[in-house]
Amino acid sequence: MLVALFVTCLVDQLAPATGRSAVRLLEAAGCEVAFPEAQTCCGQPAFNSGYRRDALRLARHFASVFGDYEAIVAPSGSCVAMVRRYFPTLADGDERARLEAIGQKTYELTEFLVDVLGRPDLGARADEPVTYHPSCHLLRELGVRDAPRRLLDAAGVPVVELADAERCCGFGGTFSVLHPEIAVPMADAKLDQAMATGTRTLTACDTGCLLHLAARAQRRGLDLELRHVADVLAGGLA
Amino acid sequence: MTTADELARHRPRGAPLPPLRDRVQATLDSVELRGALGAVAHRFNEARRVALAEPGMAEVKARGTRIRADGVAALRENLDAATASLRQLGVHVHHAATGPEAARVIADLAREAGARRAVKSKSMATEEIHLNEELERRGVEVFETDLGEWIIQQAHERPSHIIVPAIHKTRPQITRLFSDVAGHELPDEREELCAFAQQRLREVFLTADLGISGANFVCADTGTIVLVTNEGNGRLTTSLPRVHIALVPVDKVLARFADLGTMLPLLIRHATGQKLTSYVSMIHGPRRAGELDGPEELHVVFLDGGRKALLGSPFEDMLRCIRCGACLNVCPVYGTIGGHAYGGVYPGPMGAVLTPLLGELEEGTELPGASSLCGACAEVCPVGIPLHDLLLELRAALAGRRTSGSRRRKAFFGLWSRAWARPSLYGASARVAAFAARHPCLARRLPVARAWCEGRALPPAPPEPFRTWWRRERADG
Amino acid sequence: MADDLARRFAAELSAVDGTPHPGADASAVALELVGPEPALVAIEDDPTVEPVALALTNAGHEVVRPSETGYRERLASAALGVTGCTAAIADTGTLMLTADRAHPRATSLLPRSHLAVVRPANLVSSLDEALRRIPDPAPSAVTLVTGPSRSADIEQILTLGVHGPAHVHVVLP
Repeated sequence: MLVALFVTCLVDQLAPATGRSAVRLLEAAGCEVAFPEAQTCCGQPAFNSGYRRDALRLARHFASVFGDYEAIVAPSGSCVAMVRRYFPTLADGDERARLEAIGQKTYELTEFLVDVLGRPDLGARADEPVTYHPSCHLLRELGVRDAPRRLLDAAGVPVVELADAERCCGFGGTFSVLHPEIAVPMADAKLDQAMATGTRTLTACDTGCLLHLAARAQRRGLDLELRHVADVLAGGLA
Repeated sequence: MTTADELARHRPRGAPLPPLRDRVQATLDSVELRGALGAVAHRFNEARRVALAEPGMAEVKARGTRIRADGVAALRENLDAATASLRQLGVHVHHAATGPEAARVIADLAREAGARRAVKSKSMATEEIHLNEELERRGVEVFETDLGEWIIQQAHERPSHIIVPAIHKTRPQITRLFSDVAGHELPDEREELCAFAQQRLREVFLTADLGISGANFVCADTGTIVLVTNEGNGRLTTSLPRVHIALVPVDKVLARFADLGTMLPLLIRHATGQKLTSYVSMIHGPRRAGELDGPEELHVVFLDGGRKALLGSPFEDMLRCIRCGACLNVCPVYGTIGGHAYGGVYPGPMGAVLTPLLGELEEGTELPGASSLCGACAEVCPVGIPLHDLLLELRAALAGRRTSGSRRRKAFFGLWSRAWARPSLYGASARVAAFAARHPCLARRLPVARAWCEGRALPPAPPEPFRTWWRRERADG
Repeated sequence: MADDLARRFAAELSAVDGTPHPGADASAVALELVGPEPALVAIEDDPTVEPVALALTNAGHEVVRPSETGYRERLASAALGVTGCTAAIADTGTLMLTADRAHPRATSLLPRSHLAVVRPANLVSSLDEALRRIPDPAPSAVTLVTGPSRSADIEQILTLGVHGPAHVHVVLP
């Protein structure tokens, strides 16, 4: 199956290793991966700031780049939520229908591997215990609750329960720079819970959340590694 | 710099509100407040989870959502029907377009009734219209009688939660307040403090000539005024004084009395996690011939206050809100900054939406931005209000306003989106960003990076973007 | 059926800090609640609670009824208020009280303790059923009472009997 990778701007520029992990996992699942190089960003920063016409400009660009692929996969719950849930709200009529159709074939990576391909076990093996933070858009906008856990379970990764797991980490895109005074204490609450699990790795499926938490953990000098689920899994591939 | 105590106090008319940032900082500096916020959220969230885990609750929630959505669609008709039903029962009905008008109407009624002493049961609507100030200005003595409301009235403060108004007060603080009222030292014990309040307020109840309440619902078909309470002060307020005035925002009207079978359990389970509160009062007009208690005179003042203007707008769904407070309890932002930091009467996610919509605060326009859009509020909402989508909708509406900040942002996103809709310019800007990231002293000059570095480290610059790797390793040819 | 409803009512009432008295004699419960010292007791004008009024009077307590002058004024100092009910909801341990001249609102509200007597015909399963039992035209006040008065406004810890009765006793069939 040919899959177009939407790597997302954050992964492209700040966490390229996660993009490489996504490619390895998709290939391990038997997919052929395409990377349309004209891709840029889903436009969420503009959308969340209230600039919908600007967001539509990027939605149109996304549609022109990815429209012809059968399946589009991104290693980010938040960016996929933007495409699937909010792109259609930006336009009317035929364009709305077109954006809706694109949203329906755009998947978050773990969702695609488990729910679409039915391949929770990719042959990855790892035994370092981790804890898992279900990022908000993945959980609530896409309704993806089990897929990341099933992939980790199949790889033999011990997952220690995170208390108050479904509470937001405080990233929230532009929120994290507009309101650091709120976002940072929210990160602290999440990091404290992660430290309490006794594991040394906090995983999630959104690079934004991970960067925010890692930046705070580093500032606090915590012995905690923040890793994308894709990186944990790809690291365990033979 | 503002302190949490200063922030809690009633703001004199026209006094400027400190910026959101200072308000947040005040909360964060108060260790006691942060502890209380965590405790209340935990207690309510656990109780709600248990109460909602019972079979059939999903169905009740779906029914409640439908009832409220239909109710909003037919709000004007329901309001007319409620007015007619209430009048049929001998209730005097008044309609106020604005908060100040509602406060004036109630103060006029109090004067006409010759009332000197008013008892109030808890009502956020009366907070919204600043009723106490108006009554006191007109010479009516006002007593809040909900224990939490009475506590903050003694402290000259505002509620910080719509269900538990005094969560920000600790027991030692309450002991000090009550000792001042008593004129002697009271023991710092919860039972004693409650008993003192009960005795003091019982005397007031027996001598008050006016009772003022809000309403949780008013039923259009029967004219029923519904009050949901736990302490019993709502019953006393509506049973003992000679005159009862209920202030009812127009969005509280339910089409059918029979809807209460759904709405009461739904509201109460989401608010406190109880199956039913200790008391639910369903009032049908004033006392009848031969009855020994209940008001001789009953007034309902319907408050519009900007609500009807929301009908047919993208914000119409907000009128479904039944003020259960569940969105406050699950909100990580509310849990971090508390109620007073929001600056208005209604805090939390519902407040962040409602405050700017009701035009209560000019400063309210900054509230929709102060959300991580995690969606926990919309998930818990018993009547399916897409709260975080409404915050997004508000951000879009506010982005169109002509303030200097929004003009700058508008220019930025206009340029940004045009650039990033072109791969070549996206690549170029990425290279600039990468260069900056490799030179932290340069990066720190960017406002975004500066804000990021408040409490956080800059992310290390990766050696190359993903696309460079792909082009080198994978791209064909 | 009525047995099952009464059992559920009792369990739910206990869960909200009320005290059920299944199968008990209402007069005996009332006498125990007021104790040996002469006390003032407010009792509705209702055939259901008539025997209670008689027993308390015979035992030397002072009983005040709505039909007597001064009821309203004396109610505030009564130690116990005794009422029947229009319905008793098994799902939640709730009493539904309806007001009229024989059943003032405050009998179940001002005294520190409230004793309600439930007849078999009063028992219903759900809130919906109870709401359907409200007479037509609706009484000026219909009140649902679920356990004693409660507040958690200080320290988020439960305190009973703030404003309303601290003790709610229900005699069940």
